Formats: sequence, structure tokens, C-alpha cells
Amino acid sequence: MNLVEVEFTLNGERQKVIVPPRTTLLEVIREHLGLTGTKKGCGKGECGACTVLLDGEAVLACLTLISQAEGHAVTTIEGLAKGEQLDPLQEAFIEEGAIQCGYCTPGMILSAKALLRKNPSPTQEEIKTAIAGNLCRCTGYVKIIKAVQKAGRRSAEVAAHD
Amino acid sequence: MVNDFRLVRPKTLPEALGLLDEFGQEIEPVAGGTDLLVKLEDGRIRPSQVMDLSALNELKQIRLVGEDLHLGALVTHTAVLESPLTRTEAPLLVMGCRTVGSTQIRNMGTLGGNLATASPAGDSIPALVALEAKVVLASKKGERTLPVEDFLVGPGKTERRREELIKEIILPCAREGEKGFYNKLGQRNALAISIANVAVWVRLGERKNTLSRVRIAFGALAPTVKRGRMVEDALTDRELDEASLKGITQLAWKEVAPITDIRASAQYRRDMAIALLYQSLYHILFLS
Ligand SMILES: Cc1cc2nc3c(=O)[nH]c(=O)nc-3n(C[C@H](O)[C@H](O)[C@H](O)COP(=O)(O)OP(=O)(O)OC[C@H]3O[C@@H](n4cnc5c(N)ncnc54)[C@H](O)[C@@H]3O)c2cc1C
Ligand code: FES
Ligand code: FES
Repeated sequence: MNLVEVEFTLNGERQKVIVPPRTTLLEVIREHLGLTGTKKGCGKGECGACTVLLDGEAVLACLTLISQAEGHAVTTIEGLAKGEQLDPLQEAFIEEGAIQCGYCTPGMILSAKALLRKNPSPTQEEIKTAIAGNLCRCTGYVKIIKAVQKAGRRSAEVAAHD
Repeated sequence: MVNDFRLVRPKTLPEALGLLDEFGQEIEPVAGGTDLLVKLEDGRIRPSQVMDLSALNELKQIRLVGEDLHLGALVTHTAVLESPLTRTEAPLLVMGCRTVGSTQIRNMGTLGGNLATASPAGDSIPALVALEAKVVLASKKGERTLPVEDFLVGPGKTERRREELIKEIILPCAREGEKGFYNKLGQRNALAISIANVAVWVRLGERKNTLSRVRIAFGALAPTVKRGRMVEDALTDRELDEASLKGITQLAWKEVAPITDIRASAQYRRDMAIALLYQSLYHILFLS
């Protein structure tokens, strides 16, 4: 059988998978490792539902061959909460009503996470740029943008207290 | 469904070139994968082997070498936007890369992949052509260097031989008195393929409102990104005002050979070539 072995970390845990080389990171996350928070929308780079973090940067799992994850740290939506404690972005999305059907939400939150890591107090324009690759058919984006701004402010406060 | 290819994962450039020397006819390299995975997924290509370039860190560098900037083929669009070197030395390229796809596409997609894909609408290419950048192709037998303009042969067609990899892109650093502008027309601001675009690079003349050198590259307006040499000559070393600029930029319609497709008609593209060029030069001369 034609298989590749790939080692990477997923949400902080080491993983080793042995799969056909054509397998995408999205298929590995959802079908081999059973984490279904990461969604498949279009499968060709246009909707952002499959967004995950690769070493902290937002990438599309549907266009990533599994071998390209070798040695890297992958974060999915399941990796954000610390135990029962939700990430500030998750809390802000709930409080602002930035979720309706929820299909875009994991990808949206991870794009926002990558943004806040580099830029804790983004402008509205910067938020729009960061999530321009994440389509939402429900919310109209306004509440999403508000939630990201709120989470940015809250993370800054938490950091100031630490 | 993606076909069942074999995967090769070289750790160094010499190892990659050795593999291509032996199996080049069958191997499809993959860098960011943003073009290739789409083609694999819909079955447009069915390679028997794929070579994952992601471990070749030597192709991810941005370096200053004398008066030139060397950008490795695996430099991503995001790296171009974020590197202090490109921001000061290659602002026109930064403007082009900023308009590619979305944040995720820019984080994954590379300069080498954008060039190798050779789409007439590729957004880093007009800047490279206007800057007279060169592309370095490496094979086991050695390296050769071509102007980017000559590297591009047609839609999806380049001078790359199957045993070669794009190693790096070399462009001259920006100097005092030089300015650039990239103007893209898409259907919307993000995730939009260019309907038409133009990159303009100039050196300001000693007299006010003159340009001592001009280079123009049109994208999505011909089978490859194309220089506009007639307009360049007409703009050089003469005093420009709004009226003369308007007159000269009309020449652009003779330089382009657009097609009609789902995004726009040929006639509309021609009109937009003129408008985008006029806007760009107006911005450079009178607004900045
Ligand atoms: C949703 C979406 C939106 C997009 N929007 C834009 C846009 O706005 N503007 C734009 O210009 N592009 C756009 N693209 C296209 C693509 O993202 C870019 O062309 C990108 O730069 C390709 O780089 P890559 O590294 O992902 O290429 P890959 O997919 O890895 O490779 C593309 C081709 O280049 C070859 N190749 C790659 N690297 C090398 C090398 N070093 N040597 C030899 N051959 C090589 C591969 O074999 C393959 O044939 C978009 C793509 C998607 C999916
Ligand atoms: S599923 Fe990956 S971008 Fe749509
Ligand atoms: S909440 Fe339904 S797609 Fe965004």
C-alpha cells in the first residue's frame, strides 16, 4: 500500500498518522482523528469553513496535504478552550450573538485568533481583512466584527492583570 | 476525488533536484498547494508523483544581496507583506501580494507557485514584470536566470523544464525618486480574480511632472502579463498634465489583447486597461 507517515501536534498533543498521500489535513482532522469542529464547505479554498491554525497562522485545511503538516503545530476550534474556560473569542461570539447556524463559526474564530495574536487591538478594517476569506451566510458580519473587537479588548485586560 | 499519487518529500534543494532529474516527467511539485490542490481535487491533473517542497527552508528566505533583493520561491504572499525588507525595498510587489485571495490564501500561497501557475491574472506577476525581475531556475545540472517577462509563455505555460525548480526571484531594490502603483479591478475586494490590473513603476524626472523612466505591466489583458512599451515611451521625458495623461493612456488599448470570459467582455477590459493606467499615473504624479 502507498502510505505516508506524518507526525505533528494537534491542539498540543503529538499525533502520528499513516494515510494515503493524497489525504488532506481536513480529512485527517475530521475522519481519522474524529474532531468534527473543523467544517468542510467548498473544498476549494473559497469559504474558509475549514480554517485551522498552522503554527499560529490561519490556513485552509482543505487545500493542505497532510504531509505539509509534518513537524508543525495545528490548532482547531477544539483546542481553544482551556478545560471549561472558553477562549475570550468564543465568549464574545456568544455574548454578541455572532453565531446563527454556526457552520462558519469555527473557521471565523480561528481567523480572528490569528489576527489577535499579531494585533490585539485591530481596527474594523483590519478585522474585515482578516476574515475576508471566511464566508458567513447568516449573520451579516456586523456582530462578528463586534465580537472580535470585544475579545481583543478583553484579552488585553486579562494580559494587563497577569 | 484526488487520484492516488506517490509522494516524495525531499529535505534539501539538492535532493529535490536529484529527484526531478530522475523522475521530472512524472513529478508535480507542491508549494502552498492553493493552485495545485484545486486542480487535483477536480481531476484536471492526475500526477503519478507529487513532491512536497515544504521542508526546503532554504527557499523561504528574503535576502538583500548588493543592490538586489532575492526572494526564495517558497516565500509566501504574507511574508512579502510582513517583511521589513520588502516593505522598504519592493513596495510595488507588496501592493500586488496584498490583493491575492484572502488571508489564508496569502499565508499558504507562494511567489514561486504564483509564477509557475502563470495565470494572466496572477497578482504578484505585474509587479515583477514592471520591476524587470528575474527568475532563477535550478536543476541538477546548474542554474539559469531569465527575465520574468520571458519566463511567461502563455496562460499556464512557462519556460520551466520538468527537471527544474524555481529557486528564487531577483529584483532591484527601490531607489530614491522611484514610485510604483498597483491597480487591480476585481468583482469585489477579497477572493476575486483580476478582471484587469496594471502595475506601474516610474522614476521621477528632474523637472516637475516629468518621468525619466516608466515601466508598465498589464495583467488579465493578454495571454500573459504584458509590458506596455508604447505607452512607456510616450510618457517618458515630457511634461505631463491631466489632459496629456488622458491622451497618452488611450494608447493602452493598442497594447492589450484581452478576451471575453465569464468575468468581463474584451471591450470592457480594454476600457478598464486605460482607466486603471490613468488612475495609477494620476495617483503617482499628482496625489503622492
Ligand atoms: C480561493 C483562491 C483564491 C485565489 N486568489 C488569487 C488571487 O487573488 N490572485 C492570485 O494571483 N492568485 C490567487 N489564487 C491562486 C494561488 O493562490 C496563487 O497563484 C498562489 O501564489 C499559488 O502558490 P502556491 O504555493 O499555493 O502554489 P501550488 O499550488 O503549490 O503550486 C502551483 C503550481 O506551481 C508549481 N510550483 C510551485 N512551486 C514551484 C517551484 N518552486 N518550482 C517549480 N514549480 C513550482 C506546482 O507544481 C504547481 O503546478 C487563489 C487561489 C484560491 C484557491
Ligand atoms: S472547505 Fe476549505 S475553504 Fe471551503
Ligand atoms: S452563522 Fe451561519 S454561516 Fe455564519
